[in-house]
Amino acid sequence: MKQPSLSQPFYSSIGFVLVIALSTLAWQVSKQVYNLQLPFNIPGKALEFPLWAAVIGLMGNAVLKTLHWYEPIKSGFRTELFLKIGLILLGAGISFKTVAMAAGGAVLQAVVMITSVFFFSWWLGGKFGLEDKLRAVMSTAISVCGVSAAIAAAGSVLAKKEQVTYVTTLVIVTALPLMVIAPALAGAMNLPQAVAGAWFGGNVDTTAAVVGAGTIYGEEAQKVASIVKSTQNALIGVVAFLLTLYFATVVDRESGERPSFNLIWQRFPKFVLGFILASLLYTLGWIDGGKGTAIEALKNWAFTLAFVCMGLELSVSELKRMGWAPVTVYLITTVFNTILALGVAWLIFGVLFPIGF
Amino acid sequence: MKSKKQNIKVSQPFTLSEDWLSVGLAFLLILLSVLGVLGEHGISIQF
Repeated sequence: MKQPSLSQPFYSSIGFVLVIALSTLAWQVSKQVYNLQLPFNIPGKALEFPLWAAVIGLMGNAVLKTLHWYEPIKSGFRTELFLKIGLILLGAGISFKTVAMAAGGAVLQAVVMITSVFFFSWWLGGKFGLEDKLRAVMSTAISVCGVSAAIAAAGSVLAKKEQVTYVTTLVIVTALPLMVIAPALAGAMNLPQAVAGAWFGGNVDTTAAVVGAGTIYGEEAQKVASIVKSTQNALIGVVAFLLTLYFATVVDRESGERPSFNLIWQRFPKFVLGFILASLLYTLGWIDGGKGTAIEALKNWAFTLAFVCMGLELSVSELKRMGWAPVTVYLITTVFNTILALGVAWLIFGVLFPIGF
Repeated sequence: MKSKKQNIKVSQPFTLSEDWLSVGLAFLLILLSVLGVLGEHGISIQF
């Protein structure tokens, strides 16, 4: 039900306050559980705050939908905003030398991964008979950076709103389990922190879950995962430009839409500039976002808000609307993405550009 | 001659993209931390 526009800020505020309350609950739960031994011999400290935040977000999601309170307040759930704030604050604790070193490998990895995964997903979608616009949105989401990439691609190819909602749901449904499974697999394979972080950055689709997986695996993995994913995010402008060009000249020739280089700047995620600036200020010694500082605490709070929102925004009912062919394409591509990213991350961050912290 | 209507400039509402908003809010939080408003000696934000 559409609410009167004057009331919208009020309802958004209620949503925002709810996110803060659920984040505080997630923080309390993760603190209480930390020293406990859970069933199946799972140590409490293995279950880090991203997991609790996402689970509590999912529970809030179910309760709100049951009570029919979800729609009016959902504009207060701002996963991307909280995540971007957290990433900039993360930059305030990483030296610029590390950013520069990781970015070299990250650019190489991003180019290899985006190209391979995009064309694999595009080809597979064609085999399953998916519509071109859905293939474009899905391929961009899975190869670049999840939800924000899906939105950017949809703008480029003029996709339908329901196609974006559908792909966004697929992204979150697969990213949430991957956020927990990927660090567990990395631990089983005894991957070094940098390789594991690069792997999460390359294979987990949405940036929030990438940061979550990195946080669960370790501090250094979190940093590398964030740099790798942010680099992929930064390339979304180029992908959006190429998609617009392709759809304007090949698929929708009569639409008359022509891309400009301005589009690359429009789509460029400006928070990456904030991340680099924060890292420079930290390197110059003007600010300190290292361990135990107020900036580090704020970063963790921002990430917790983002993880809670990720759970709150999940909508499984969207999956039923388009049938199982797109789900199958998405899942097969995710497996391809996961295996390829492991090999590429190991080669780049384990052999070609190993990073020391 | 331009009509009166043509001379009226339509003012665009100011909008801030989510990206720039995140940059602004993040640096505001950093500033408040540096000034001590947030943190050990100010508003507690322990995590």
